Amino acid sequence: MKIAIFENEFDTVEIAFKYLNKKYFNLSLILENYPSSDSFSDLKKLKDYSLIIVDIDLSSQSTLDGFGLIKKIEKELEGPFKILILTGQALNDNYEIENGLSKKYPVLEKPINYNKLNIEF
Amino acid sequence: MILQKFTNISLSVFFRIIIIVFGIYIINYKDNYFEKYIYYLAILPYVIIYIRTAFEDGISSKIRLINDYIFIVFLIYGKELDFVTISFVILPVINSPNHSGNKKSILLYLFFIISIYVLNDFHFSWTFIIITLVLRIINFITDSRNIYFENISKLNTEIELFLEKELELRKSYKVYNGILTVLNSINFLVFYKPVFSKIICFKIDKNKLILENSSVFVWSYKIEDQFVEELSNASNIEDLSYSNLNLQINEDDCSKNFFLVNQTKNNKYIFVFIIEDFSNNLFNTYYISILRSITARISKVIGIENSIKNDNKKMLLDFRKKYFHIQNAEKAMHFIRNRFNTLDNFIEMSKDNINGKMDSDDIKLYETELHRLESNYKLLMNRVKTILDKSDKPFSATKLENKSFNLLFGSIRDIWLDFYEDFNFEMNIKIESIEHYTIKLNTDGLYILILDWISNLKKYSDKDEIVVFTETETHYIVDFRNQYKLENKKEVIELRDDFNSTERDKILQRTSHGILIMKSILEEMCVDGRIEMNEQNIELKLTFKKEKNENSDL
Repeated sequence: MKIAIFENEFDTVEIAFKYLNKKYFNLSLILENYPSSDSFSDLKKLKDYSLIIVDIDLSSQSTLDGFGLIKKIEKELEGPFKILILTGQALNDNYEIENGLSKKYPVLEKPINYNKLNIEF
Repeated sequence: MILQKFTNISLSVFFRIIIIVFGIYIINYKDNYFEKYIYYLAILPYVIIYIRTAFEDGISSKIRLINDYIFIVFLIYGKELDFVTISFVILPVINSPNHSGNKKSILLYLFFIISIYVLNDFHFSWTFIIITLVLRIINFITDSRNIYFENISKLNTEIELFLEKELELRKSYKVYNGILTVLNSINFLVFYKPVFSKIICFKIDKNKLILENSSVFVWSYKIEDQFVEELSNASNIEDLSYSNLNLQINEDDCSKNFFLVNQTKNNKYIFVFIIEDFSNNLFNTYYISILRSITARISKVIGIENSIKNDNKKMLLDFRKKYFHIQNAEKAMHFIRNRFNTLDNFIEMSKDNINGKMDSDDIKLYETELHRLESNYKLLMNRVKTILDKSDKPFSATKLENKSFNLLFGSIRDIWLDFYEDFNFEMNIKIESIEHYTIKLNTDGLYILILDWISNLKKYSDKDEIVVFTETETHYIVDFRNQYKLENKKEVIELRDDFNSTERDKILQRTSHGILIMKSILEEMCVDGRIEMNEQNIELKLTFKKEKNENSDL
């Protein structure tokens, strides 16, 4: 099961993902970190991933923030795809409308731990 | 306008009373040609015609003039031409500067000559013409002087109207339209009536002319370099004026013009009046002289406008700093939540560790998370320290200034009156000695402090609100006292406990930020503040340390 994690401060969540992988998935998860929206060159290839985790506050070096990246994914990917939003902010109930997304996605507010992640998987 | 009309009417009526009284004197003291009663009867049609034509211009004013002369000529007809009778005939001419109607025409002098001719037994003399000419010249000078001041008054009225009705920040250019209208209505000389089309104001800034405002949209301008240089080097520019300088506005030739220079406390302004048809250097001096005081007033308005603009700029810069502080705080919160990931996950993993559910690989991960947590803890503490750094706070009352007791009293009274109709206070201060002491205050901090307290007071107060000012040898004490509403007793007790508490965290847990802000300000201003209460009353006691006033005679 391949998982793409768009997170610029991956060191703060890395162990949670690794421990989750070992404890609940018997190391079957293939975790790939992309620190900015530009790190993944061809977004169409994201269809190969079972889950796309997007941190909303990607670093200032990132061309797109998390919402911008999701909008681009929505445009580029055909067929069903699964997105989980990670955020350090409190999002409004209508966050998808305010940010021009086509629908609501599950949101996991930081700080996170492996058990919180497991619930969303 | 109403006052001017009333003055004109009063003068007109008064002039006819003079004619009638003077006439009665002549009837009684001069040998009459007709029976005396006929003269008295003549007063009646004279008055009736005057009343019927009074207060109107146009043909009515001419009828009034003819009426005056017929009455005068009738009264002195057949009488000897002497000092008294000549004075009587000359009265309308002497009075002409006061005329309400447009009677300063040639008719006035024509009637005068005809009257003299009739009274002189229909014998013509060139002396009549010479006397009339002299009188005409004298009246012209008087009229010109009156018109000059009338024009200044009209221009001033335009400014008054603008200040009363249209004064808006950055819209002082609106006054120019009214001024142009007045300028174009001035009939200074029959042969010189220039058409004014634009007024443009420049500011002299570092040897450059910067467009300040204008009656029309100006997108480009070009002025003689020599003029700018001369102006920059002039030691006293206060009374400078120029005419017909080479000037291009919006790429159009505008060299028919005159320039007026004004200096305010902080700036130098140049007003350019553009003329469309014909501009003469000599005759422009008339316009320059009537506009001198007007442009000085406009300069002051622009000066005030610029001063407000500068204050706004300072406020925006201050706001920008505060905005950055808030943004930094937001970023810090985001940073903290990210770093808390390691803590959250470490706690969760610790549960497995304690329960013995970890193998050696898990322990390695657990140790890695611990190391990351340790380094994150250091980063977190540094960030927290930065946020709490007082010098970076958007507002701080630590900058203290020596202020008088008057300012303290005045500030409390002003804020109090925003909440209550009357300022109820008791003064136990030696008024004669308040000049001898000052208090260290931050005026913004004081404002927030008093505002917060009075708004709290208003919320919980039942009655008997009073501020008591007392003093000791070393301090001024301000007591805010009132009876609180019994149903709010619990809240009032909490308020007292929170206010008097030294535990910042405890206050944060329970109350809004108001109390914390008040306490911070008191702390920063080094002012002692304490709340006392009993079964009915609550009292906030603020103690300000007296400082000896160095400028006092004490």
